[in-house]
Amino acid sequence: MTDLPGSMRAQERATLELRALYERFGYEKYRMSQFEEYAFYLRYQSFLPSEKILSFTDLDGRLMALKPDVTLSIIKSVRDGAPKSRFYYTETVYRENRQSGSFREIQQMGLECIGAISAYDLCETTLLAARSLAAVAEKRVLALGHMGYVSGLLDALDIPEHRREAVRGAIRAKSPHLIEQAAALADGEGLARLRTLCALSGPFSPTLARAEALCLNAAMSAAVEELRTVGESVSALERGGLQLDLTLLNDTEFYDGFLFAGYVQGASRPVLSGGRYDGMVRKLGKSAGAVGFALYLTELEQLEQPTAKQPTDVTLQDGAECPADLLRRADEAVSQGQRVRVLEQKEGLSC
Amino acid sequence: MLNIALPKGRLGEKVYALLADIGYACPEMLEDSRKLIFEHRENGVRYFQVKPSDVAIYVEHGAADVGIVGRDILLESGAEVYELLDLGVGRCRMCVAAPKGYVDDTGRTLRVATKFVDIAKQYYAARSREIEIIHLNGSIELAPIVGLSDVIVDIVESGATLRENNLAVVEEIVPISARLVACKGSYAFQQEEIDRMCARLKERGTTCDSTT
Repeated sequence: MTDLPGSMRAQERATLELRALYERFGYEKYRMSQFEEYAFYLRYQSFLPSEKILSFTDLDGRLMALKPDVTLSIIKSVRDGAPKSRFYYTETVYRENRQSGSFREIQQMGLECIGAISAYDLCETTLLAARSLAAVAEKRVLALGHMGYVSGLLDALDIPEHRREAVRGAIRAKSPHLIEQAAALADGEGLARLRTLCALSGPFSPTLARAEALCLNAAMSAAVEELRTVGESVSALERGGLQLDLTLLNDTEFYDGFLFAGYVQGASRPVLSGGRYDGMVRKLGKSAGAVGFALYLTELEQLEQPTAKQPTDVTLQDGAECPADLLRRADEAVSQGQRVRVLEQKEGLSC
Repeated sequence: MLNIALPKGRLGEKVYALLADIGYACPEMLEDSRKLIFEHRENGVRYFQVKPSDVAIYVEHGAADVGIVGRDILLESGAEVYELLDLGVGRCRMCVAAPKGYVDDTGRTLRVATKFVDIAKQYYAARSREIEIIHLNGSIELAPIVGLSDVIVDIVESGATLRENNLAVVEEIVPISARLVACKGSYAFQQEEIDRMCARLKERGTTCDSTT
């Protein structure tokens, strides 16, 4: 049977489209085990969005966890020194729902490129992220950012380490009014630069020009150049929706360089997040780098219109004829592309 | 069209007056009615009147694009929103208060009565102090007087209630005022309109950019 079910949701269709797209770009499907040892996540907790992990004791007594994250398991599986690996996945993760105070199941799809990461890899991953958004929504925004740009500015302004978390929090919240106390800078010009950074988001090219004007050191300039390379390469192929947001900062240690977030109209938070995570790969004892993203399918589900019940073309009555005849008639109708419904049996068999 | 969540009550009225003054008027808001949604197409606004503690939730979930919320509620809820502007209205302080003459015995667990559980936990966790939280919903000042707690963590405006109950501020945790917050998803698509509202509020001059 080659035709797709009429009740298939837009998100399910997009999943199939994206699988084909990722495979054409050389990504292989990665199917991972449902469970990991709890100790594994405990060790790398700083990379996880929450310290709460859904755990259980396996039959052999080991404390296991239902995956709160996919990327850690993929990195673990890659042999150090192996050629560049490209994987995509569709998996379920279990994370804390802060508001309900319970765990929730999250369907996500994504890809990871692990190895010696080049500028091309960053461009390719970003293009695939843009295409993934395009597959799920007409109105979308892919915002690019760079952790290196922000840490470059904090270095240039000599912000002490113990203050950086609060400063990053104020930048992430786009709050110039919170910067002063967080940074505790005597230097008025430095403070003005931090406040300017809080407003560095918007259409890609003009915002990049403003970001360039704020550069104070080589780290910031390198970040701007990397953003320019990726932004220009991707916008040449995937029109519309590309923005620059230098307040886009990771709130865990996950992404540590170039990063991005995808929004679709109607969703209150990003439905896609990705970026470079070389630090995490190194912490897992590998010498490679990595870049990837995840598309949160569960978030997209909320945006879909309720699907109407599919109309029935042929109605048959169970019990009106013998099961073999009824089955043959139903099968004939289906093979002609009709939708069949067999009504409940009212009387006993007639043959 | 910008969807704006306003807190019911005095703060909401004060902020609506500010917004009306800079081009976001919706005269129906001033009528005596039980309506919860007010729209003015020409001015491109739709207001929701919600419980103050729910404003951040409406904005975080994208039901409202922007909202006005006290910093206390924002800190307590941990809502994932952009905090774009300090409006400088509804000023007060989140404080630790205790009976006058109170001496802290650091050798034992501190009993803290509060409505703001997360703020209190974070404040004392940053000081590595062992505490026992007593979660109350009102009349927090009563707790140390009747021996239910050693201290309280609560909002102090003028300090009159504390004085009348023979209590005094021991430490200030954070200054509080109303903030303009935005939904992350809405900001990605309506940055221009939201930034314009921010800029007009700043120009109006009632806001404060560096209060904390």
